[in-house]
Amino acid sequence: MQRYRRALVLGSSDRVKRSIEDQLHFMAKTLDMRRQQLAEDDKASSPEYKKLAVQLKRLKQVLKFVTEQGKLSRSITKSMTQRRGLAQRQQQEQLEKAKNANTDKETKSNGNQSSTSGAKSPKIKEKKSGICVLM
Amino acid sequence: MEVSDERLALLGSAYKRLFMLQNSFFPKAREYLKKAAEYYHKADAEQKKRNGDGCYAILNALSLDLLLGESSSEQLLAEAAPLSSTALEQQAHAPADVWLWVQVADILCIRYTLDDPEVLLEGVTSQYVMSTRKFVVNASSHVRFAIDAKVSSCTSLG
Repeated sequence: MQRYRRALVLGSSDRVKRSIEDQLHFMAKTLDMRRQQLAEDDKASSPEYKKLAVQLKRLKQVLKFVTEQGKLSRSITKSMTQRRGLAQRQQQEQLEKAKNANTDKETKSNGNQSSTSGAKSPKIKEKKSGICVLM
Repeated sequence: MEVSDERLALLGSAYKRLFMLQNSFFPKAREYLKKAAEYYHKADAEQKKRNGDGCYAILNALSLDLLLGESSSEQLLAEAAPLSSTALEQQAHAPADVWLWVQVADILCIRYTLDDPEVLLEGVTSQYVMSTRKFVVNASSHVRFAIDAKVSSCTSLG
């Protein structure tokens, strides 16, 4: 459940953010190209140019905000991925240690009770609980 | 082949891509942009003919009209302002659909760009935040709290 929630928080919203950013980038770029075109046609002092400059300024304000939010979200995703990797490595190391400790025990116990046939070797219990990753 | 709003919108999208590939605003590129806007308008008309209430086609048409600069700001605002309430109704009807939240934000963004005195920058940005963090609301309180804390600390640093 926790993984599912995390996927919704980061997976979906990042895709949405990218889409919003792309659309705003496209709009700002097109307005800018139009403005440049007007400047090249010596219409930089025309009312159309001035109106366009205002529109571009306003659109860029929104784009700046959305881009910053996107960067922030991606940095959160990155740090969560790094933490998850670290937690997985730590769990793996703990499992390895537990396995090694049990193998040592088993070897010693086999050496001491070599005459006892059919004795069950101790089972290694692997904890398969979900990894809870905290931010 | 049957004409449908979806097919017309796809044609609009294809012409928009063609425009993007030109990477200029020369007459040929401008023609593609114009065609894209036309097809989105046709898609919207087709949708209305079938009593559809979606904003997708008209929203795209409006944003392309804005980019083309052939309609006055007043004309575009007259079309965009009533769209906000339609989009809000749709969002309230299906709050789980994140794209409906984005739609509301996009309309506000167009209105803000067109210098609508009723729309402030904070209104647009907060709607975008709502749409991109909507799923955070559904997440566990721990995840929500952690994200909010990180966002506030980064914002204060910035």
